[in-house]
Amino acid sequence: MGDLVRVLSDKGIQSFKGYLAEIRNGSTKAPPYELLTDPWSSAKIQWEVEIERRDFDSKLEASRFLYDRFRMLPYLQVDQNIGLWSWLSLYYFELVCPRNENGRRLPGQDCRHIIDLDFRRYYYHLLNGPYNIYKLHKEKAPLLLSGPLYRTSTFYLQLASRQGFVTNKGVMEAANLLYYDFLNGRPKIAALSKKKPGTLFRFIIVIQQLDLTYDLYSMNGEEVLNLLPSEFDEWHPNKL
Amino acid sequence: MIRRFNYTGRKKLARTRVSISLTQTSDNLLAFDAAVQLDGLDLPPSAKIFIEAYRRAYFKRISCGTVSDPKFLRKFILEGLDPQALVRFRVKIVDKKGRILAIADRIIPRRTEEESTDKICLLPVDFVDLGQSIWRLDVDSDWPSLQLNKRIENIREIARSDNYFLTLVYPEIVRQVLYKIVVEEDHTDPYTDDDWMSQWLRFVTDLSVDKLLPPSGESEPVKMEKLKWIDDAVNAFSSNNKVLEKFIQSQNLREK
Repeated sequence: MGDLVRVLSDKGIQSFKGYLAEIRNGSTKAPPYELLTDPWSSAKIQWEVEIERRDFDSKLEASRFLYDRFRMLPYLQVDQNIGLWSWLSLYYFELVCPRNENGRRLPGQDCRHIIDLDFRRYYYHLLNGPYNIYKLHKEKAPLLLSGPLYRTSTFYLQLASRQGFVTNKGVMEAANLLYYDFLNGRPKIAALSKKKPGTLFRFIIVIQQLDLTYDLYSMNGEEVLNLLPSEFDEWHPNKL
Repeated sequence: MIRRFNYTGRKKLARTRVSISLTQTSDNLLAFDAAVQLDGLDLPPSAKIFIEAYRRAYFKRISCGTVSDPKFLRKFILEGLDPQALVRFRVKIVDKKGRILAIADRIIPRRTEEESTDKICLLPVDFVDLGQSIWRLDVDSDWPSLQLNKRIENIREIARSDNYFLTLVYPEIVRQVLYKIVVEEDHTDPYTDDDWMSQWLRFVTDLSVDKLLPPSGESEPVKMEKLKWIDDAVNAFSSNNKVLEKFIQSQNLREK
């Protein structure tokens, strides 16, 4: 038996923010799960969506699960609904902010748990960010959606923060082909190195240059890879 | 001064050649009409035309035929986008090899039929949840925009016609935008391009009587001159818009 999804009210969000500030300052208090059902802090939504507390192996699995639950709802009620994603963040708090080996929770900035709609931070939310990536690319963005929910990877930050990258299916496919180890289900080792040629940071610079000349949105991943100079050959699965 | 190289001969499609207007459908969806004027650009007839709408993680690309047979759009629905969202557009002309022959980017669509087609919007408005704030100026994305808190029911009308809002907020917006352009970016030539910084500079220099341009450079004395230039520009803006007069009128009305 699952729980019906609700939304945190302004009061609920303020209480949640207060809790985040407390644990940031060292408090070991338990998460305020009572906000999830307290009628002053949360409210029902128009539709009955049921979820349950469970483990997710990766951001991909979590966003697939959430997408499956919310895809039939009007996007205006879901995508940027601050109350909804704050409620979900508190509901899955053990996954987005687990205790570390010292028993402390390290929540980071509020925008990891409560959506900040500023264009510099909207993708930081630990559940809504991956959800939006999944909505755009479905199963084709494992590079961005690998790893546990509480950890925001450099791949995610570097690619999701760039509108021209994250919305471009060909560029995303190329990044996955170059830097994702499909055999072992994780990003390739050293793909973030600043010393090796052809790593992610060079990929970003080179794609930005190519974008001035080529209509990259019309290309698939292989076609994008064919435009890259030889320094990327080491990472290219067909050129090894 | 910023200099740009264009080794591939890509043509710039002036924004004035592009007309995009948004409407809200009865189902509360966002739709747009688009037309692009391509005469005289000497583009190959077979080159393809694409229009792209984008905002954050939203992206929609629409094929609009070829240069010789363009198929521009009427009431094309942008599904998945908040109807109040500030969406931007890009027009690309692309050859068979996928090379960009001409491009116009960061196009801000007109919102209503009343807005003139040949005017460029300097300050688009975005309606977002700003928590306890009324407004915020976003000068760090690709075009400055005024964000208004959508929690306030009639905020659109307030921002358009409330004299308190107009007189207290807009001069401050002009100041912040000019600070970004002149001090932070040291962009001081209004005639380099049709990017937003040049367009803002053209707008404010046209308001002043002496049409003086800001000084260029990053030394401390030059910075002081720049701040003085910004003060003068804000004053010229306020004077042109009768800011003091409107504020006093509103105050008098309130006291009555």
